[in-house]
Amino acid sequence: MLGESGSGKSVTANTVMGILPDPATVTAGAVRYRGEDLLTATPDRRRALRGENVAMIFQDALSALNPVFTVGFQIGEQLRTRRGMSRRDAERRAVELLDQVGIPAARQRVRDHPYQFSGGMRQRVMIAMSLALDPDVLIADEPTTALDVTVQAQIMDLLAEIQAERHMALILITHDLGVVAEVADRIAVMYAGRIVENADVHPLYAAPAHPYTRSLLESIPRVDTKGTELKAIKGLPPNLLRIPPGCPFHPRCPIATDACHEELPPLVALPGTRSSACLFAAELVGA
Amino acid sequence: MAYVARLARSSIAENTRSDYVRTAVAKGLAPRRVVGVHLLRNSLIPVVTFLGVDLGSLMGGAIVTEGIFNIRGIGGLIFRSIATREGATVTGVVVLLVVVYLLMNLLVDVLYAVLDPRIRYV
Repeated sequence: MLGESGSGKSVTANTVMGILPDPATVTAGAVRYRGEDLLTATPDRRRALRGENVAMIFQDALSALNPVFTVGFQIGEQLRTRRGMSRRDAERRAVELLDQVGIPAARQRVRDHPYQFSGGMRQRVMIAMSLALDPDVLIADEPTTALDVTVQAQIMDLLAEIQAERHMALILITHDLGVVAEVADRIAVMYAGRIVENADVHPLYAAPAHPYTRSLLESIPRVDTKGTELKAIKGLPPNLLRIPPGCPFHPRCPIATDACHEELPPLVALPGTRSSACLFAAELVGA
Repeated sequence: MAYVARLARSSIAENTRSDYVRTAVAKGLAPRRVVGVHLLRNSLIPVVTFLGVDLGSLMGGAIVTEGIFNIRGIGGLIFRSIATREGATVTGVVVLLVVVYLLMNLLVDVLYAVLDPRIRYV
């Protein structure tokens, strides 16, 4: 899932997990996991699926990990409370998991607290924790945002590796186009709380079917256009309390027409396995 | 007691929105465990601080209450010693209370480090 800040990526992920912050409620739609609608499931049922089937890792591992417990405690916690493992077995398993996510000297570090780890290592701890119960789906909410570039690459490699090894689905939330291109199979681009384009990676990068996606791709700095001005998207992302009528992207869209001001373009299927919420999607793909 | 409960409540309420609580919920832990283990431990620091300070005023208060109600406690002893001008007894008991107070404060400081491992004194 790709989109700029405030486009609704994290909210979507939190909805899937059922961990929306308090006043928020879901008014329509469905979240399907193996055919089961999670939104109509009982709270107990949802809780049973969390961690066990669908796990999540968060953006800022320092605040997302509990500062007062050792990482071993936090990784083993689910094993103890849900698998009935003993303290000792849970710690042993935590060491294995830390080892799998590439933390050196896992046996010693299992008794350390989150603040004793570096940013990248903390995110690895987070990943180890999410893997404790062998989930089928892992949601990674901007796992590399708080990290520097070299560490980012390591974490992405780790996630890709884990995903391949465990045959686990990975939902990656990011605003980094480079990151998705390497890891993802399918991309959903979000803007102002809606998916505006949904496509496989290659077609999307080759011929974006939504002007927003196209503008995003054009705004990436490139080596061969060095010295020229960066093509940023004009204007600002919309105020979500006052989303413009019609297509929310029209005030910033280079190809907007009068029709764009009036109706909200639905997400329509295009040839291939893609869809776009632009009135001119067909032309964009053809062009 | 009421004040301690209120302090604990507001401290927990404040921490409820923090990220690690969201993580704990996302781990599929029981609500009781999220609050009782993850939240409580993080919320106890202001409570412990207050308890340490409060113990001092508790002993000061004991002098008045035990004096008024004629209870034979340490506060009552000070009260009566003052009334009968027994300076040595007053000094002795006050020193004792000071020692108790200092020990309580030391205990609070040590508890900080136990509650939150990020706090370590060099």
